[in-house]
Amino acid sequence: MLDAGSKFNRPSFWTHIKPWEWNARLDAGRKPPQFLLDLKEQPYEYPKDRYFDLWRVWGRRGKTNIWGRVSLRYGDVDFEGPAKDGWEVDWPFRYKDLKPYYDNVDQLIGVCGGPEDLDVLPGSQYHLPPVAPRCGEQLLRRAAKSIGIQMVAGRRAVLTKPHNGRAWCHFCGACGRGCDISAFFNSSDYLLEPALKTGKLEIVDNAVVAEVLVGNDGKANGARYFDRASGAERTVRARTVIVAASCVDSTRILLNSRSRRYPNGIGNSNDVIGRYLVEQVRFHVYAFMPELLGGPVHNDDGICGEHLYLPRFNHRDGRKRDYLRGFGMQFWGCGAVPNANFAKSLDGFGADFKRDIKKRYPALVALHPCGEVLPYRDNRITVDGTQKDRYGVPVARIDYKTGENERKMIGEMYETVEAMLRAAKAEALPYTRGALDHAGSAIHEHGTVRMGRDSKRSALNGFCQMHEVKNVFVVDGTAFPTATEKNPTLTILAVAGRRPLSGRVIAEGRGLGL
Amino acid sequence: MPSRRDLLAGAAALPVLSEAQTAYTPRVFTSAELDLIRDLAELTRFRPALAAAAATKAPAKDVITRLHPAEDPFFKQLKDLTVDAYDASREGLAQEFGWHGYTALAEFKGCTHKEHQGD
Ligand SMILES: Cc1cc2nc3c(=O)[nH]c(=O)nc-3n(C[C@H](O)[C@H](O)[C@H](O)COP(=O)(O)OP(=O)(O)OC[C@H]3O[C@@H](n4cnc5c(N)ncnc54)[C@H](O)[C@@H]3O)c2cc1C
Ligand code: SF4
Repeated sequence: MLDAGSKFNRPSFWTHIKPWEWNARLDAGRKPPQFLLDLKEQPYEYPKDRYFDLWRVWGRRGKTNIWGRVSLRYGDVDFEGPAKDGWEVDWPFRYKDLKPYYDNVDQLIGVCGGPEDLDVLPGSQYHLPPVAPRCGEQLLRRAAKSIGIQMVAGRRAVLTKPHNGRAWCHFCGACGRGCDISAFFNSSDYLLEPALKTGKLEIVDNAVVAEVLVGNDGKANGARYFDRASGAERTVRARTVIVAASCVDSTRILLNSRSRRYPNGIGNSNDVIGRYLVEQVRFHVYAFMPELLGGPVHNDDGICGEHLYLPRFNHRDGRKRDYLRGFGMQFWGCGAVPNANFAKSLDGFGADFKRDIKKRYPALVALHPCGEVLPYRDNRITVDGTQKDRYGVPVARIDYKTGENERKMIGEMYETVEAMLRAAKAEALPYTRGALDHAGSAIHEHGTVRMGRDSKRSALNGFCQMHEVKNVFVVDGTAFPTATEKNPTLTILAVAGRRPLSGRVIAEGRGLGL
Repeated sequence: MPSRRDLLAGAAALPVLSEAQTAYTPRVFTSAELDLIRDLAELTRFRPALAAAAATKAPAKDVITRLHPAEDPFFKQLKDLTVDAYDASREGLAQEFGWHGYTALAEFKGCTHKEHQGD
């Protein structure tokens, strides 16, 4: 396996460092672990008026070092979406085909969750115990229920009890800084380390892949890469190539893999690769629950992020909508959090202001609706810009905009938030209706090397294998034909595990993973 | 002490919250930034306000907020910086608000209030 980074050193994580200690350490010239890739080292481009917020972690276990761990199964409402509404290509399988692989993943990585089993959110018999909701979440659930909306136990890849011999969570709530005991799933400790122990895996660290190489027979036969420390150019040969560098970097590698045989990038004669980039639309509304104002402050950290989830419901009431697909909602940041950023939106000054902040501090709730974005041909990644990285390899250019369908859905997302807050009699912090996060900030890019049954309209088959170049597999979120409103990582793992890939290629130890 | 112009230029250059990747990395201040906040507060804009407050016996906050309403970018930035600095401090976050997180616990009980349940 070639990895653009190296292993992050878990004992050096600043997991339990309080904000004031963090400051003191910075003042003393110390640096926290740098998970995010420095843009000076590896820039990317976007049109001037369309900023795209790209988060990349180069290093073993990639973004799963710091991910939010929300782990939601897709249901047939998701897999059948395109076939039912006719928007773009169908998924090449259904929930029943993927279920055994979801089951495998749940057992392997450990996902906590409740007993709910819904059409939009299939259940799992392998869930670890869920984590109790905080007061604010509980009150939101009650309010949602009063207007006919169901909230369920959050599903997160966090070990809430001992699992497969691993340490379990101690509810310190600092997961975003990297877990110092590895109590949440990350692909290095949970996948790569056990694979290394078999003796069948070799990892080359700091190997920045530029392209997949192709032989005279049109098959992939290796990769060209640069050593990140020395800049030296190297090649490695392989009979099978598996690409999993995360959406933008996988797409960049494939589009840069140009040859006489594949002038448009390997496996891209149908001009699908790079197109149909999907992410999600998201915004945030904060409010205060009246029951909690001026009340006691609890340790609300838990497993950091939400303990409850609001699954998609907009297909249930029989009402015809003027948009396709749907949205769900997350609730990270409810209760006592390690800041009082909300105070910046409050009027006032001096001692009264301070009293006001203190009164509201335990009562904070945060609502984060997340909606599906349709795949559009022109939402795309290209490598045709002028900019090159330090190795002379063209960088990715991301051209992405929110469509009319999403604008319409956002209206209903705001209405739902407002209805919940009205039902809770909560006081919302000022927000601008219609405002959205920057494109990219959901950090769920996918769709640019999509799978499908029709080889003219898709790049991969249902086993993540290229239609055009049979010995190349692309096993990250790029393979998804649609975004859904859900977080993708659990499904990335389940899809990657589908045979014949796992059974035939990986088990025989012949693959080259990028 | 740096010139007023330099200070204002420095304040304008401070990264605003949305630019820091705050959901996962707390926005923290270096000593230089904290010095800057103190210097800014010392600056002429506040001195006359405080002097006026002393002269009229009106509460300082009324005079300051009248002279520098909430929508005044300078005032807003100063207030935001103060909030950030205060709530990243032990005095603000732990002693005043009662946050005691990032601590290992044996269990997480969550909401145990009967009156909050109802589902
Ligand atoms: C803050 C945050 C919160 C998130 N929350 C959630 C969540 O709650 N739920 C969820 O499902 N998802 C979440 N995600 C997204 C999740 O992290 C990704 O879906 C997941 O990590 C994707 O896995 P991946 O292996 O495709 O990519 P990554 O995890 O990004 O790994 C990419 C790997 O490829 C390597 N690489 C990249 N380029 C090259 C190259 N040119 N050559 C060689 N190697 C290369 C990198 O070094 C890295 O090892 C979150 C992400 C972030 C950053
Ligand atoms: S809350 Fe649990 S999973 Fe998160 S950092 Fe702490 S111990 Fe690790």
